[in-house]
Amino acid sequence: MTAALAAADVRPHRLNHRPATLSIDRVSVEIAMRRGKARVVDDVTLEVWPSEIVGLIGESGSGKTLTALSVLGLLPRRARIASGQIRLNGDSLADKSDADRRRLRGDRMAFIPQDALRALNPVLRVDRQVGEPLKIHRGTAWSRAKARAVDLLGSVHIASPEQRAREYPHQYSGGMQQRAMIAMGLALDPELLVADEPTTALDVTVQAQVLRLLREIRDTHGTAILLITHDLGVVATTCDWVYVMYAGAVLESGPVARLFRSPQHPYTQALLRATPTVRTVQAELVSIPGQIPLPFDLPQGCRFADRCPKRFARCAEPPPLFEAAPGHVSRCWLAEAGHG
Amino acid sequence: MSAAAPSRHITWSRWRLLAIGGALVSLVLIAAAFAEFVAPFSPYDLDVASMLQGPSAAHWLGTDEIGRDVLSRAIFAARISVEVALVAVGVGLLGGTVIGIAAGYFGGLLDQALMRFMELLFSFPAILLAIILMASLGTNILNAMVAIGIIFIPGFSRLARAATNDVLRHQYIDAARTIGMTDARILWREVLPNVMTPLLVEATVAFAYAVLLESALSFLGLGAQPPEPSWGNMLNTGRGFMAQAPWLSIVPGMAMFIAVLGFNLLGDGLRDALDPHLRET
Amino acid sequence: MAEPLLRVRGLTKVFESGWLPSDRRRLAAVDGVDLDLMAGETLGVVGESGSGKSTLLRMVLRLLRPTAGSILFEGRSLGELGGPELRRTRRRIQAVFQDPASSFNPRQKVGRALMAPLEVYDVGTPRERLARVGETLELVGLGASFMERYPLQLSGGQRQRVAIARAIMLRPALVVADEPTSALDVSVQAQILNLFRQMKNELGLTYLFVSHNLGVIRYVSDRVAVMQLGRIIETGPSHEVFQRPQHEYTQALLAAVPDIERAAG
Repeated sequence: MTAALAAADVRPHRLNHRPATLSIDRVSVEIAMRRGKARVVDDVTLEVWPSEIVGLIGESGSGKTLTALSVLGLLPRRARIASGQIRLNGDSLADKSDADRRRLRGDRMAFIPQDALRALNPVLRVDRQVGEPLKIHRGTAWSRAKARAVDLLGSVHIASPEQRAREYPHQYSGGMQQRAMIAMGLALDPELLVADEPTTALDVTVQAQVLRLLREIRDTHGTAILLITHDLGVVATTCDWVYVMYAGAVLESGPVARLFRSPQHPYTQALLRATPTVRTVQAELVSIPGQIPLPFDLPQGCRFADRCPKRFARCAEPPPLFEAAPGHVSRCWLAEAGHG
Repeated sequence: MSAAAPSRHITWSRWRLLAIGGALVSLVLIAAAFAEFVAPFSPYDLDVASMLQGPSAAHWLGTDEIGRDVLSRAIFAARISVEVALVAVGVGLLGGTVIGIAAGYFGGLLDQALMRFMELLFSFPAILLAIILMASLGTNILNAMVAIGIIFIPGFSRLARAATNDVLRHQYIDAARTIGMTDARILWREVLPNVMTPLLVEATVAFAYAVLLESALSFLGLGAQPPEPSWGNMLNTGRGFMAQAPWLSIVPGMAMFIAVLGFNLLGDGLRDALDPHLRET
Repeated sequence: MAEPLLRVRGLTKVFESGWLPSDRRRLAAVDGVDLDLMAGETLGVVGESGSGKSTLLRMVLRLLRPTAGSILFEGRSLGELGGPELRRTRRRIQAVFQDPASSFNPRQKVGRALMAPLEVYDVGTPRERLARVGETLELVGLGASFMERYPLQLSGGQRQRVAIARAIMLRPALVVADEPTSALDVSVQAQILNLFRQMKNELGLTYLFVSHNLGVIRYVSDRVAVMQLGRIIETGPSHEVFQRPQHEYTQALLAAVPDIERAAG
């Protein structure tokens, strides 16, 4: 796995003074509910740089999907960005009209959903769908767009793409459908790919192929990829950097190798101990007691405090992010200097 | 992932539907049940002195061509309509539910046979089927009820079958079988309660339709027989006096409108109120 | 060696599709499977979609009729049993299903759902049944107050606890679990897997545990059977299969698992 990263543990891109491809800056998302507004994403800051896969991991209710949707401008109707800035290579997305944002989607940033079969139109041939972004955003003629689709399908390792391009989505296996979605996403060589649980519906062997493809795209196209997942294993094998979300907030983030080697936040530690692995037999999985708090009755201080085995008096105050190592931060009072 | 609020709101607008629908339906039901007390006159009493009179202090909604009080006749007509609709919907609901659930649950040849027969029944125009049934059974109000009821059976049975198939996909049916429940018990405990919601909603719509069908049959002289008042035969009479006495048509027409609208709103309201998925905390 | 609790021999299920003889297709979802499950043991069945693991399990539960082969439970052939004997046997095999959202009738309170198995077999008086439901809810870590709740008012993890309660209500010998944690978050999954372990120790249960998640299978199983295209291609003690997989497919499967230990190194 990406040896370069393990060596420095810091993103080399930062040294180049280039802007991040995606910068989410202190973004909060609110949903209007009968009881008032619920803050489901709270003050999230996140960056994705060129040529890296950033994992955004969390359990259900963590706000990871809404964070991703806010980037794409696809938030559900009752949700809205309450504060913060989202920039794509320096361009603020908030300032854009809906029409401009629609032009960005599929052009400068592409979305890969969880359920590829439902995202593909069952009555259109695959080449037509994969070529469609070219037609829509560039006005390319259909004949040329479809020819390009064949190339794209080949580049995501679909065998005999000339024939396969003329087929319908249901003739594809689950893994091929997901690769066709990725091909469509790559049609305009976007700066950013946002993938929401792209392998959750797939078998492990197929999942491994799709994850390998994402790494390949990162390395050959230099694309910045934001990968939303609930699976620590997917992060461990695929991502360069990871943000751990819980109840709407980022609790820990850092380079993957470092974060898995020495997780700082008790939540991350607990998640790792709760995950069964195939390589060793665990005497007992350590489960986290209780439930994720609902967005309208979050604890006053640290959101994880109620379920945390290491809770102490200080946890009644909301902790800021503390830096445990270069780039590796943890929202826990234990990470305050001296506790390490 | 959305902390997407467990949809705790059955929105107020939905409750409003239920309330308005319920109020209109209650109006019709009260008129039907207590016609003797509500109506100012007998529906049969002639007042030859005041034929075809417009609305007045004595006769709020006027009188008909032989001097009967239109308001009173409309109120008594509600009784006929509600009786017919009640029996007809009862026949349709019961027959359709039994057939639909049996077809859906047991499947196979039984399903094929039952549903083909239902399609045959369904392919006749409703009115025509009613007329054929009435012609062979004789024209009286009871036969009208049964005829309309039979017309409803295919609709209810299709709905019941689809709802049953949907229920069968759930793992609680597998769980019930694993426990060792008999088919009868599974049908009664697990299937029936979960198919009732769409059927009850459909029943309210059918109720409205039954009111219309009864009126249509009466209009054609196949339902309630004069002098017994029914919205349909009132409308038929009113047709001849459209120019001189428009209230003769407007009053039964409005009564039907209120009844049909009421049942439809009630149906929409019920659908949401009965959905267990909206009962989360 | 003692008699196995469950013995499966040559079990086959063929699905046919198509009406016309010309386009009739036959698919052997399960193809000649042999299995032995000893009392007190947990056998993990692992495979990808289409491997036939769920079909196998549905035949053991008698939700599907086998095309060929036999299932012996406590020495008696399930296929040949009828009437009261079948009921007696069935009572000793219970199940926990995959989707906690769909495995309960949304219109029945938890108490009523848990009462059902006792009613079906006419166990005890109504009062005794109520007491038993309360005790069992305590046992799975929920408490008797949950009787009054509707399934939709519970979280996924709580619902799966109720499902386990339903499965152990009749004190069965064998519990069949079909992907019981695949719809749950990791932290909740750990709670449920530990509850499975705890119930096994306290009630002396035997598990037939089906999952696509190799980590989960490794955690719960004493022995493992790997399925591919309707056949068991490798079987053995859990640690053997995971540490020294013999079959190519098992090796590929294990290599494909994204494991957290890879990043930690």
